[in-house]
Amino acid sequence: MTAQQLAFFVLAFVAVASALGVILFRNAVYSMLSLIVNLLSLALFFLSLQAIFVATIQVLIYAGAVMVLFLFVVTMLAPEADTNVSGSDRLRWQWVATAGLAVILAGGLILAVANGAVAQDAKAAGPNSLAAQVTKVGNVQAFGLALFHGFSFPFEVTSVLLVIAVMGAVVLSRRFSGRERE
Amino acid sequence: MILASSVFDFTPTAQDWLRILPELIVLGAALLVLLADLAIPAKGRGWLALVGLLGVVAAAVVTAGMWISGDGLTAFNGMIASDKAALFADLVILFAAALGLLFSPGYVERQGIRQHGEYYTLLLLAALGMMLMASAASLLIVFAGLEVLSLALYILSAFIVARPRSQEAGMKYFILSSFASAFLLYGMALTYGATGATALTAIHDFVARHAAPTGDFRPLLLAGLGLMAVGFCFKVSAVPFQAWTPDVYVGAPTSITAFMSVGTKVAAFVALARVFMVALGPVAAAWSPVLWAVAVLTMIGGNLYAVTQRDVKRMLAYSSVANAGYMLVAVVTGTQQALAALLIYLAAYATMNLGAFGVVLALERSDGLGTVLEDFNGLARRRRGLAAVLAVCLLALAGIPPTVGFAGKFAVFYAAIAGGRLELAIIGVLTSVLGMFYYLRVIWAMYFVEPQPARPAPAFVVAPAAPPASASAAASSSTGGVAVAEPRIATTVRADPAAVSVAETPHVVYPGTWLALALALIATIALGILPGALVDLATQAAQSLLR
Repeated sequence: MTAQQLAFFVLAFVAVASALGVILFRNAVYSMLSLIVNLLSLALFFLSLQAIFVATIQVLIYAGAVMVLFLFVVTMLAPEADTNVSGSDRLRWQWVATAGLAVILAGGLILAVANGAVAQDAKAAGPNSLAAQVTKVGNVQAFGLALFHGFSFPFEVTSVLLVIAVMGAVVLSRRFSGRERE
Repeated sequence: MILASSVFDFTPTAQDWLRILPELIVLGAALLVLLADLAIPAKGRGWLALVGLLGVVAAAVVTAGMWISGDGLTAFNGMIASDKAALFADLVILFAAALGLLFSPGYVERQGIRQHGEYYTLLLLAALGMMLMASAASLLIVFAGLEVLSLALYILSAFIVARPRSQEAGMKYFILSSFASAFLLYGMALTYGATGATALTAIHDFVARHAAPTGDFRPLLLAGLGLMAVGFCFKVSAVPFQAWTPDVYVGAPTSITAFMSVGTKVAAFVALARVFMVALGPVAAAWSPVLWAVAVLTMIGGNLYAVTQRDVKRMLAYSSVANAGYMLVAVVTGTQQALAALLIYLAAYATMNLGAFGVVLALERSDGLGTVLEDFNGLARRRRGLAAVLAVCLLALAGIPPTVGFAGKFAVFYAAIAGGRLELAIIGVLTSVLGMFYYLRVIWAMYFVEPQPARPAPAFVVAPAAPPASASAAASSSTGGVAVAEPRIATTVRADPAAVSVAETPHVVYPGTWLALALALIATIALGILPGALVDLATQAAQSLLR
């Protein structure tokens, strides 16, 4: 087993365990913290794939900014440190169904990996491939060039999405006093 | 991973922008409405709908021009298509948006929605997202367009702040639909991993070269297909992913329900056709059994659910589920003829469904009630015009000639038989017969049942105390061109049976609503009597997509 494989298995264990923690902890703050661990382990995955820029962004934006926001909201909504989710599950039978379907899905995916699911063509490196570009201009530059040239249109569409999100926040959180209408 | 040579140095040209001109006009109109909202005084907010409507009409004119003289190529490095299938879908979506805008001013006023500017802007942006999704030539744009339209619709569903059902609709739609979006995105990621491409043409080339000849579908590709199918089936509200549909359609403002029931279907089905029928057509053997099962379940389930409904709005929601089943028949068949039939059915569904929801909208009271089957008893005597429109639209939904609904059903089932899917056509015809029961039941109620004089208040009434008549009169007189003179009936506490008067409200139907209903009615009948033009357009569109 090479060092890379070892790193993969350790990271995979941490990622899966922390992802389970997010949904299994009854205390919302613990869930948040294990989500941070999960996002950090994903960043390390990116790093092990030599996607340095994506790994950095993952840490800065997700593990940093977004999670801070999450924690703020959780602690603000539950000021009395009572962040436990209480009450019993009304749909217990779903656990059985979920477990059965999850086993099927996991089995299928393991089969996929065992069969060497990725066709060789998909990984082929030509003169215009991402790998060639990365060696030519560097990781961050290749990412930026692709984002602002070839993928500029989806990038612009995302800005429309952000406009909608801002308007949604305004619409749904605004409360009218009685006489504001006219 | 091979990327197109221009990924790292692509620069958009004027040609690229011209090919997305309809989308740009809709975006411009949306932003203009948002700005005009600040300038226009509160009284004249009904004019915002007109601004949006002008944008939509302009976009439709440009789309028609592109149909005649456009080059039909993709724009922005193969991200978005301007082929005739995209233009056809754009036209249907713009038709739905125009009718949605026409329905809105009177309804919005009656429901006490205050944020008019945001309402119309979001409606236009939802239309933009639908157009993007229907024109997508890359998985990225399929997802981005889907998110634009979904996010706008989540907000619009929850727009009636004072009505808990509307809030509930927005929340349910948001959570369930985000979950489905995650499935779709995961499926796209796995498909990308299996084929090394997000552009639909590149995916098509890859599966045609590798998977199709050998019949060796990589498990990774299969998993991707499965997850994408889940996402799409949720968005088109196919059984067993339909649970959100009735609650959202009933809770959302009816003008939005009318618009989204049509627009989302068009966008999602054209995108589904692009991804499954075209790009993944060579591996149809991998996905068609799954969609076959979903189509059968949807046709049977949607119609069975609809039969049991007492609320006409809810019945129409389940009817939209059932219609998704007929459309899936066309997708499963997978031939060029079937694609044309799918487009015909989408256009037909747009006209008749908008008309039906429009009448429900005109009858709905300010407390959101008044759409139960009993409310339609004897409607033909009280509201001759509305009853006639609803009758024609329901006959069309039932698939009775000479309406456009018959043309759509005929096209789909004929294509299914021609494409060797006889069993789906048989199930489709049988379930359509079942469907006639609940459509004709409403017509029966309107024309042949005496209205009950004073229906007792339904037990689930949670109507907030309606504003006193004077306030509402002041409100309606101050709305300028918006002619809403609805004497609101104070639905007071249930303990006092004498005060409970939930008789029908003789509110005036806003002229824009009449115009929209007339448009839907004319389209439903004219395209039904002379379906040749529609068939011709749809065939051209199908040829541009699937050769």
